[in-house]
Amino acid sequence: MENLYNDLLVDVPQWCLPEGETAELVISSRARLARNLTTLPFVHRTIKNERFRVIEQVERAVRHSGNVAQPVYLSLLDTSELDRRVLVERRLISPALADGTRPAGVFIGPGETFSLMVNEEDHLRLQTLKGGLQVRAAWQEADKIDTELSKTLDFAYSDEFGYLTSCPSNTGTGMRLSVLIHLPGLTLVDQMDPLGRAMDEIGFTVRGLYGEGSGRSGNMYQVSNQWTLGHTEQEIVDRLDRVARRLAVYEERACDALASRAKRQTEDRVARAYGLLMHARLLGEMEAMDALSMLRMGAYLRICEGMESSAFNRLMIAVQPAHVRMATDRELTEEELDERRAELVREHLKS
Amino acid sequence: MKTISCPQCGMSAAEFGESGRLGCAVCYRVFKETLVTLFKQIHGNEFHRGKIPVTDPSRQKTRRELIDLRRALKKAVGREAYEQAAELRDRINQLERGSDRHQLVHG
Repeated sequence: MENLYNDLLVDVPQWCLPEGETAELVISSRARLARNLTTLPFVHRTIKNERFRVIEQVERAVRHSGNVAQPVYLSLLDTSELDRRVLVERRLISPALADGTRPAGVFIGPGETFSLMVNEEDHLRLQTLKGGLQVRAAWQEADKIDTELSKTLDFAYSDEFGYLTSCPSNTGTGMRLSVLIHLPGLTLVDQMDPLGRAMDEIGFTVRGLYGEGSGRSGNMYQVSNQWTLGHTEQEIVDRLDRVARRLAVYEERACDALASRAKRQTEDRVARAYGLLMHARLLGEMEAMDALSMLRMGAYLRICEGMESSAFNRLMIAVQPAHVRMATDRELTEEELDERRAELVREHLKS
Repeated sequence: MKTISCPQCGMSAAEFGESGRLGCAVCYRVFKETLVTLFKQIHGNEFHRGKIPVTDPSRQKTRRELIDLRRALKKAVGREAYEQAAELRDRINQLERGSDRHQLVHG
């Protein structure tokens, strides 16, 4: 098995390099399109052979798509569990695809700018990732790849219902557009629950870092559209863009309030987080994510000498368990994992 | 009571009800009525307005026109403007017959 790090993944995924005026808060933008082939049953009703046929057909389409930067293919059947978890942590595949027991695969674009998951819930799930608030660019890129692939592949589509997906919650555009946004201020002033409810009413979902069912980690939230039918992609793009900008304004206000009305407490939180990251000998994942969140907030509020947003983004990936294991040459016990994480964070912060 | 199931993949109404998942593209036609109710609940809408997957411009135009006509028909029925609704339905049938041989799946 080739080494993922050397041969496939880049040092810093392109989405880690933030763009735009909200880049300190909005980490990344993602567009995900669900597509199915007309000639085969949906994935959960396929037999092994049919799954291989899906992979073959997508592979052929990718090879024939002249306008798409050629991705690298990775079969998830032949990949180690650690490698699969690394891919999940880098958001190149979903946790569901990481199962590794059934024929499935992923095409990864250069710089990790896009990935095509094959045999996830739908035959094809195409996703693009961009740094900062770039939902429009993420959609445009996904649109381009989708159009290119559809020259070879017959996607299941009906005039009335649009793209036909395995789950009715994705029917229509098949598009799930999301932003990953850091909202420590709103979390600290207890505004995330009411905001989540308000978002729900206008058709957006607020979730943790790894999507459905995942807990809050480091005050990172994924905001995505719920409605896929009856709205054009452009409408969804415009609305999420507005929602994300609005959230950034609210966050700014919450941070300003914390900095003015609870100045000492806020400085204390940031300083303690720094102390923990610099001196802990055993550092858990959640602990690390939460402390990094406070440090990032400190940088945002200019309380402390800030690291660049891109450095925070890289660290956020580096402290995830599979990445810590990947960066170490030997097997690690749980305690050693926390010890190694503490070391890695210290090295990063000192440099 | 007769049980409905999909002629292509064999998915039964009971299975669909239980899993909430469709089995294949043809299921969309078989379970259309249930789906429309479901779509209204989930999306607040029942018709697609987004991307159309073909590059042939004439086909695009027809599809777009059909989408508009279906919405107009729904409104006309809502207003009880049955004469207009009948005209719209004729036009829809005409267009659907014309584009039939191109269609992969029709809802």
